[in-house]
Amino acid sequence: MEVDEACERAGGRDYLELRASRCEVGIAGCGSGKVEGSVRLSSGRTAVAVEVKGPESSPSGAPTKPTAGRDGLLVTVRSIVRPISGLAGEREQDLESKVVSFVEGILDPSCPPRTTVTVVVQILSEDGSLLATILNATAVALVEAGVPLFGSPVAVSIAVADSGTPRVRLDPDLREESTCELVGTYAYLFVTEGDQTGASVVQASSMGRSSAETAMLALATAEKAAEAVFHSRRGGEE
Amino acid sequence: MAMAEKEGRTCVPGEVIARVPRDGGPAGTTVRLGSGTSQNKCGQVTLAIRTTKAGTLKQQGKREVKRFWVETRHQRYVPSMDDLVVGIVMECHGETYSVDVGGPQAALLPILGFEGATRRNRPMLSLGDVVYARVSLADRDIDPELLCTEKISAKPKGLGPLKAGYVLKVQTGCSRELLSGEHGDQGVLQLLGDHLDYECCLGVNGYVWVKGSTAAETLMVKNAIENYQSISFGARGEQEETRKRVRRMVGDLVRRRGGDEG
Repeated sequence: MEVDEACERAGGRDYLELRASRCEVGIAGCGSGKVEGSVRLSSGRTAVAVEVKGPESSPSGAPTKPTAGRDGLLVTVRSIVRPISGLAGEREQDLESKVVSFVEGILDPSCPPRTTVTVVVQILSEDGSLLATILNATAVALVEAGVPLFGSPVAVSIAVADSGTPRVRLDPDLREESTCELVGTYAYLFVTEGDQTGASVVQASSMGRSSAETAMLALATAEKAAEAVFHSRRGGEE
Repeated sequence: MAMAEKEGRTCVPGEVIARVPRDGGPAGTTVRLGSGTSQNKCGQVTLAIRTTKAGTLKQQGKREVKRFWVETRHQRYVPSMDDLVVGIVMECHGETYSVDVGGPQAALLPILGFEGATRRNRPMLSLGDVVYARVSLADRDIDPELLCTEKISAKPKGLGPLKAGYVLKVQTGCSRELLSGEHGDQGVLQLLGDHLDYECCLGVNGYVWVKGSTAAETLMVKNAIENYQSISFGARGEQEETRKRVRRMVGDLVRRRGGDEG
């Protein structure tokens, strides 16, 4: 039984507790015609603003790359991620490609073909769990823009400190991310039928190393957490 | 034996609404999918019908034919048959005009697609001209087509080019609300009509054409409609609250105009 005083989370948070999150929808003005979905999402002190436009007609000759599983889905997704200040660098390009693969994974096959969906992300402040916050904000912006989606997406960020018994922490802040061995972001897609919910993994990216069991534990915890977020969000919409 | 339209319930993308047998079922039941829904194969014999957008899920239908659709307030318009839309002409390619209707693809309007048009006598439209047209062909995979002629035995609705005036873009849900006139005499357009003379043309695609007798009045109508959109978005369907705010807003605009001219 170890009681790690040093592992107390900031703000007295429980290991499996998410930070307070705040979501504002329609910040770019509804109906302005320039942007269709716009969201400002903050989770603790990490805040991002995302704008979505589309589906709109692609310029002719835009290359189509193969996407997994769905033949006939000819929608191009473009993404731009801007840092808090300065020019976009390699990290932003890496985030852009993750956003693109996330959106391609959740688009419904009934999207009109030969169109483009554009996602612009502006990072406002950072305190850990950046990718999960970006993916969640993108999901809300897509729903607000009315882009056809296959299901409801939720992304969750996990950090595991592998000292002794691995403790899985949800929604790590920057300090925890730098001290934990494994940091992962997992995005799930939920499809409901009556009372049952089915989840599928859309994106799983992790940094660092851990044993295989710990990695599976992180994946399973993320799925449960994402499901809880999904249900509470749905309950909030009723 | 028509089933009344069921009260809608809010839904998010990814809810499976129904499962239907792939080959139509015993009594030949047909299911029509409206906007915001889609289907996919699930097992050998059934199709699952899913929602793809967030909004109010509605269904309607008699025993044999059922319709499901999701009502949304989004901006991007999805063209469907027989919608009356306002479009802006972009260019002329030979025999057709290319018209922007706010959808994923540009729509095509044949140059002879106007009431009583012949080769010699037809409206010459150029970039920026506004037309009020009917969607005659719409499918996900092809470019939508428009026509400015009436269907046989339909009442004339004033399809064709619209001169002068100003076009503004609103959410499709907002233009549908304005069209349905759900606030009756207390609606924005009716209240404005008490004070000014103006013309307006509402397209279900979210493009609204307005024209007042002076430029200032045109802008007033434009501001009123845009403010109405923010009000109804914020008030979220509380009728009385919306009406009060709309009355106050129109009163402010009129008073300001009176102050300028006086």
